[in-house]
Amino acid sequence: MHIPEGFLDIKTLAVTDGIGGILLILSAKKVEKDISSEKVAKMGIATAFVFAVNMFAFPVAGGTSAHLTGVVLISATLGGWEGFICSSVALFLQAILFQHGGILSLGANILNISGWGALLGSVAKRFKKFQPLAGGILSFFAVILGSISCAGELYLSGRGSFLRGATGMAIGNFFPAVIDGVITFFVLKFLKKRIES
Amino acid sequence: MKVLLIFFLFTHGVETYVEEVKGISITVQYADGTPMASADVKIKSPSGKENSEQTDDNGRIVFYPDENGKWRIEIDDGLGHGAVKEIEWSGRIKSEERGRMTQAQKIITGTGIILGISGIISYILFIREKRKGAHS
Repeated sequence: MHIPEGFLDIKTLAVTDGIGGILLILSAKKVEKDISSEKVAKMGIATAFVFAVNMFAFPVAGGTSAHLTGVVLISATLGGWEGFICSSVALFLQAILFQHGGILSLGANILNISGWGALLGSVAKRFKKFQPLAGGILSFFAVILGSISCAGELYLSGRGSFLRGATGMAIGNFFPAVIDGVITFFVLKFLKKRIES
Repeated sequence: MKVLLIFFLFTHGVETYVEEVKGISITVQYADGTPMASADVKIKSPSGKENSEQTDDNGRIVFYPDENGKWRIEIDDGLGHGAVKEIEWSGRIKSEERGRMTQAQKIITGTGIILGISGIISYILFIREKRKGAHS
């Protein structure tokens, strides 16, 4: 789901980079209010986790490859704004260091991966009793919604039919979405047990 | 019978020509080294002609430029991953070296940078908190 350089046209880049930038500034202001050394350390670990998890790709049908995101997991644990920043930093470094996703298309990638993940992760955080289950299910939908918004951006840039693109990407990312959901469920369950004991 | 056979040979003749040509090979792979097989490829010539192909099982596409100038090759796996390559063709190009870092090295590099920077910021904040605590 990392849109490479040259795939989006100027108007789509302007809109996605603009919205992504505004959300990043907003996240920074929200997180800054109660920043502490402990919080920064946790966010560093979360960012490293998302970075590593994004780099693992596994084959799906048709010889293509997809990967996990982990954004709902970190957002359900740390908070939505924190998760958004952590994931966006990971995406930025992937683009700068390894050209995994474009620099100009970073806004679009942030919205598709960090945006949906942080939004649904913050919803999962509100669940007290059934947080692991909610996290798992919302993690699945974060990947699927990210695929659909990615298809939407490509369609707005004149790259094929939206319906075909969205269907293809949603089906292609179905298996990684399930894995993402399962991992999120078990990790949140483990963390909940540790906190309760 | 022999006459009939000779007649059919001339009416359905096949001619073959073997010659050496210069082409461009592009190999596409994911970050972990897996080939991007069966990805859609659009090849745009300097004069605006467009051709559609697919990468093979090794993530490779080979084409033979028939005009000098800037060729644009777009590769799309349909899952939001792909690449755009612009190649200036004047009869030859310089081959690109493949990336030398393995997947594990990339992960270690990236997580190292992240943990290092966040560790430094965390330490600076910790010192500030300690000073605030000492003064209050």
